[in-house]
Amino acid sequence: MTQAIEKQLQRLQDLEDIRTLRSRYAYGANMLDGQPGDLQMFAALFASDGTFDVGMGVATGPAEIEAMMKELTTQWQCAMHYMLNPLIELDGDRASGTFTGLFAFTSKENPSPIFLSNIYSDTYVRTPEGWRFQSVTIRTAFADPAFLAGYADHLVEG
Amino acid sequence: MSDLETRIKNIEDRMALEEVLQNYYAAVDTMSDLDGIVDCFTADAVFDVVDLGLPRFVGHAEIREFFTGVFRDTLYHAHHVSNFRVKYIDGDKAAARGYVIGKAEGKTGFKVLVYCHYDIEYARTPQGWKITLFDEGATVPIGDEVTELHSHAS
Repeated sequence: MTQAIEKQLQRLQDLEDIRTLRSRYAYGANMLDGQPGDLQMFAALFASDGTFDVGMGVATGPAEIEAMMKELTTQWQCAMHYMLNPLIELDGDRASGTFTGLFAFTSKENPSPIFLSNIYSDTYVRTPEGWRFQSVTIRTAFADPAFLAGYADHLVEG
Repeated sequence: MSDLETRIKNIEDRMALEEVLQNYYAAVDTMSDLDGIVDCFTADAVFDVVDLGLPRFVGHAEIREFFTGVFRDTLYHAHHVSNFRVKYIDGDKAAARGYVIGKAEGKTGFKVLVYCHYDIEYARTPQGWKITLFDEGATVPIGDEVTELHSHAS
């Protein structure tokens, strides 16, 4: 196989691996029947010094991220995370990405879903275990007031 | 070109076609990136949103003018793109179809939520794939809410 084809294939594989990483993030963060997803798996999607900042403080490294997610996933009956509009830029063993998140949440008290949406700005790093998040940050597009009220004790201004 | 090279090129083309579309919606949702929007289109591209109650625009200048008004009059846009499907790639031409859920709020407080589909035609240019026709229509029937939201922009 020529070097050019190997390079093309590596690029395609990297793009697909990063898309899969973002999908695993969504499945890990989803809640069904009042139960969180696999939060240990979710946290392991981050590099050892990876940062997770979704507007509720910053957690660094898988242990802190898992602990933060346990605090944030207590109140919903269902929390669906849809990962849309992927844009990925590769740069060797580093990459950056933008995804749009659409979220539908229900609670035991209110089975009608509330919706919110944000735009993720990610950075990724290639590790011996594969691509991992180096950082995750968000910019909110819109959010149902009921969601903001539910996280009033966690939300960080700014 | 070998069979393997042809197959890889086909995959790269399919990913590039979707990336152009994602670049377009990402630029729209920034609420400011006019250059990013028109960069997704050929200079003579047709931007057809007649089915949403808006005009049909031709070329960068008309598309740019429309979005200048949109950004002036709107608080936010959030476009959720899914079900992207390449219809064909034929040399330097291609076409695709997919869905988008669009939510927006005007500065007057007027809100819209629309479920749409888009049909896109592309041309391969020296700068990569560009949109030659963007035709967006309502999948779930709508009233005049999009016209109302963009009444000043168009």
